[in-house]
Amino acid sequence: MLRFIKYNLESIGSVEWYPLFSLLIFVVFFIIVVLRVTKMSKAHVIELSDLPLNDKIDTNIKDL
Amino acid sequence: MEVEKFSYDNKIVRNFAYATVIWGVTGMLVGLIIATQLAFPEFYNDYLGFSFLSFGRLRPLHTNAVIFAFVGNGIYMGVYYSLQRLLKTRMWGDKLSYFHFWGWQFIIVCAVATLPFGITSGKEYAELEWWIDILIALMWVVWGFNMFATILVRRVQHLYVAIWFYIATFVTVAMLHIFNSFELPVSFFKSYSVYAGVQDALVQWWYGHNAVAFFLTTPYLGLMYYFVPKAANRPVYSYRLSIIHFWALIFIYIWAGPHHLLYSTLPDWAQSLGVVFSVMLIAPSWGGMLNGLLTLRGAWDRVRDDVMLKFMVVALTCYGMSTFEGPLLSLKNVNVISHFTDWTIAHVHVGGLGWNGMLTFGLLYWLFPKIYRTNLYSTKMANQHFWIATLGIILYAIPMYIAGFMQGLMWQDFNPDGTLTNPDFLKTVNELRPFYYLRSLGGLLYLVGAIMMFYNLVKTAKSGVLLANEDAEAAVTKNLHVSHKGEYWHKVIERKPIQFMVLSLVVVAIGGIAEIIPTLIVKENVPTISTVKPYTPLELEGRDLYIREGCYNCHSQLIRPLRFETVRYGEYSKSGEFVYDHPFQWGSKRTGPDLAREGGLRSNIWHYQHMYRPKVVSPGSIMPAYTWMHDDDLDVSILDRKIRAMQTLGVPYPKGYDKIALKDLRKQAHEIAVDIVENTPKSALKGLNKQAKIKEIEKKEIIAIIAYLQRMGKDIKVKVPKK
Repeated sequence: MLRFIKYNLESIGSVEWYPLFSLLIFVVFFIIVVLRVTKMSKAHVIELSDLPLNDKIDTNIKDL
Repeated sequence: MEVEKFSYDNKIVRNFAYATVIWGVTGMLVGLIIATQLAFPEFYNDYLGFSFLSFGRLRPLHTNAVIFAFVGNGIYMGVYYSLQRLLKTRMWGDKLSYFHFWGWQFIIVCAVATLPFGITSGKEYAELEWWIDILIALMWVVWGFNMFATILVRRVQHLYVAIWFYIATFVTVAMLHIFNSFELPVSFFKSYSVYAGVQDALVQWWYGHNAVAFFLTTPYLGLMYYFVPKAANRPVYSYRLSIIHFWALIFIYIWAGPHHLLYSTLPDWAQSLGVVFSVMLIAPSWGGMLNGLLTLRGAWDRVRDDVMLKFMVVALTCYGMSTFEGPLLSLKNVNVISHFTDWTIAHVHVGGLGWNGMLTFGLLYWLFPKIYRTNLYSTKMANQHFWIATLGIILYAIPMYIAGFMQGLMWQDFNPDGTLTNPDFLKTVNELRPFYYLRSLGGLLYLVGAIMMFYNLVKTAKSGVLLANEDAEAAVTKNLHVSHKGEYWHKVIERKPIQFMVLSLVVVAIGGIAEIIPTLIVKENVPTISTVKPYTPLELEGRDLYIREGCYNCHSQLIRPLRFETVRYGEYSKSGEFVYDHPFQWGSKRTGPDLAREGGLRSNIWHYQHMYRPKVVSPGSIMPAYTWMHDDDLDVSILDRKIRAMQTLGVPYPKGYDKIALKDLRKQAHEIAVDIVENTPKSALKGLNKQAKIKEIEKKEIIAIIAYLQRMGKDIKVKVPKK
């Protein structure tokens, strides 16, 4: 089963770049998440964090 | 505003709650039994020396029971309760919920019915045989399907952070379980891992570490994000932090697996990656812990009175401690002391008893009165449970920390003349006895607390009536899934569960792909050694007995390239030595010495007598006696199938070898039996003549295990004649 994957991947050069690329992807992804999170509106944050406590009829949702 | 009426299914929550308690007590009891086996080995040897009670077979039962039965049912209990309420929707399929419940309990029963009888695939935390693995995958998908179907028909717009953790748990555990369980079945009760040696080790610890991450951590963080705000009656401290916590945690966790293989034959780059990401893990882990604890800000006075909050505070504190300690243990200079010792055992139990256990207890005390519409039978008893359990954790962890640190240093000690201060491994084990007594006491206290809770919960249930279908109502909403122009991206993603799942899978797959694929494909990562040959049929059968008895639970097969290791055990291990090891048996704990270079170290007769009476041959030994191996005939009925399976996996036995393997096996067994009998004193032959004695023992299991032990680590010692 693995032979098939192996055969196709053996031809890939510079496999040692995999981890570096992945680390880079993580750093970029992380920075984007942090930046976007800081820009979230306060009202939306409060709405979301109230979800577990909101056992009564949900009036926050309007028909869109 | 139109309002829709529906009901929540509390009965399924009740079922999983009872299963959590019952399997929890069972798993802890098995844990206590194996703890006392190390503290009082003489007692077990004299009175309870049954094969199905031996440490090597029960330890996997303990780990599987507490992880997959106790915590597993705990996850489902919390998810089935919180998911319905967070989505304002009953579970999509009632029948599916109950099919999932009974299916999961059936899997646990299968584990109880196989592991003590030596039916195991021999991979730590994934010991269950191939057909049980298939059942696990099936039931996991049933749960995931039910969860997703519920999410898709929900009555709220956004998915709360707890649900993200459930989704990540679902996709990642599915991925890990499937990739780690690639096995080639030989019979109903026997299979071989398709990976071998160092590759098997990497896949196994990628799975093993992330089983901790995505079975013991992420679902419980989800529960924490729901139940802590619920119990404290205030929203989570920072929702923004929870988003960062989630993405950073699932991204980083998946990389950390190789820290279980430091100083092993795993390529250096993979080890370093494991360390780097393990250290980085502190940030999201502590972010999550602080987010949980700070949710209680302004409500600390309630912690004094509310027993559920007490359990949660200790759970979060233990989570903080073990996630601080984890990265510490992954540093090479700390790992060199801690690895293979009881330090690891202490670490996992701070997480297991503290984080998972205490959070589960808190949840149970909160849930029972809610679903039975009554008050807790005895708050006083719950408080007593809290203190007994906390004391139990302390009495468990501290002695194990001391034991681990002490033994790790004792292994390293050198005399000024360059010889080992403690050349006798057994001496370092016997020093630990007092700590093993204390650990058993800690475990006993924790178990007593759990039994008290069981009683308290049953009494609570009896004093109330189960509200099987809890009435609820929510606003009817249309067009939940429509996006607005210029909308914040995460808002969109968190509304679309399928895209969310795919994104989570991509995030966790990156780490796995980057680590595992290069190891599997790059030939230089496993340098071949020309003198390393496949096992003989007898050795192969012996190796299967080694797996059956769970020897890897106490003996490692991996000598690290460190002076104190090579002086004690010999040449350090090379990855090329393990290319025919399906599965690898490196182990992770040395309750007994390493066996990687055991071959040829001692005589056959020594092994023969030692396995029969370890305490006579090695005074003070805590190893159980394996008398049944001397009584039972070796089962060779599927030897031909085993050889063919190995050939399929790439082990170079000659074509048609399956047909003549048995002949070779008998020949080698005869030679070992002759050697044993020749070296047995006449008085020990009990009147039998030598030929009769040889005939008696040559077909026994013990001969096969001796053949395997005598082969271990010998291949690289073979001298190749110069051309």
